[in-house]
Amino acid sequence: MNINNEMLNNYLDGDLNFNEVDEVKKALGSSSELKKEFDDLNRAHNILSKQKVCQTKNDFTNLVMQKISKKSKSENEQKIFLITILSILCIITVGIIGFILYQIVSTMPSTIDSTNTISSLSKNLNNFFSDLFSKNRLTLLGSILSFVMLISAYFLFELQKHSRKNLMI
Amino acid sequence: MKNLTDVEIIESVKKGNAADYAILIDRYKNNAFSMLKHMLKNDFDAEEVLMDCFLKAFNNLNTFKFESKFSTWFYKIIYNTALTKLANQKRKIENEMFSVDDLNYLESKYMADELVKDNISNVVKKVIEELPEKNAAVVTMFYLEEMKCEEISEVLKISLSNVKVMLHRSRNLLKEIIGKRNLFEEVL
Repeated sequence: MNINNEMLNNYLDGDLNFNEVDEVKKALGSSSELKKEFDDLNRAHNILSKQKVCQTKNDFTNLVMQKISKKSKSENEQKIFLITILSILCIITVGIIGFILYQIVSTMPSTIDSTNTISSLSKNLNNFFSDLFSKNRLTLLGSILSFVMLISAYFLFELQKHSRKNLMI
Repeated sequence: MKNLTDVEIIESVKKGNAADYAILIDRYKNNAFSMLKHMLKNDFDAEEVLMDCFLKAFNNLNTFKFESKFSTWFYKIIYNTALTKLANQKRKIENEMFSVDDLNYLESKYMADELVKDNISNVVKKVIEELPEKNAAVVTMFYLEEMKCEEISEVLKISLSNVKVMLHRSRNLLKEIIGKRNLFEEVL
């Protein structure tokens, strides 16, 4: 078997099988040149094993932990911000629904005839929506829609940021 | 506390004991810093990237599923972040198989007469610091972190044979440099 440099390296790393180890041992015993090459390689291996570990600054761990605690604080603040925005959105939605229901109920006659209930309700709804989309109310509706779009854009941005972070790993 | 395994520490951190993460930082910071320093060739960048890596690892600890060792997962983060940093610096990133010329250049450089009187630890330090990024990463993970070649290939996303080639060439380079300069006696 031809014992080359790669085999010596594998022998050093313990990557050879039993037969190969035997062959290498025999070759090392019979060839002084090969023995010298192996000894040099072994010394290089020992030097690399004993290389000094580079030290970080003494306060490195504290600095990382401080950053982590700062980050979790800002994340909590972000959560509170999101909850506040969502609550406001919910209140606005509940308000709008309540307003619609109030408008419908207030325009209905006090004595409800069961046969006319459905037609009366649809008529009222029709009146309400045509009133809602009238020139006067359109500004209010536009503002609400813009607000909802802004909130959606914010969530989209946060989602993208989060996915980008995950992709980095 | 310091005798806890990586898995136990991670589970504790996941339960909300963020302070336990400091044990993991202490455990890995110096070896990881050595690898980054060898790859980035710069103390300041190495420390900045290392801090970034520890923060990334903390933020993504929930995605760590214990399928591999924490060290393998963490060194993947380190290696990828270092490559991103190098790309940002518009430095050359090697292909999977590095150029032999790089090592030949180093060999001729460290045979130079002015370096003959330099001591062995300085020569080793200089040689490792000037190795191409991937070789430096392989040498550090193998010798300092005592990772197996299989784990290194997982971190670097290259084949096992390529890891071995890189390791053997780096070792041969050092052998040639030191051997020709008769520095082995100094070591012994």
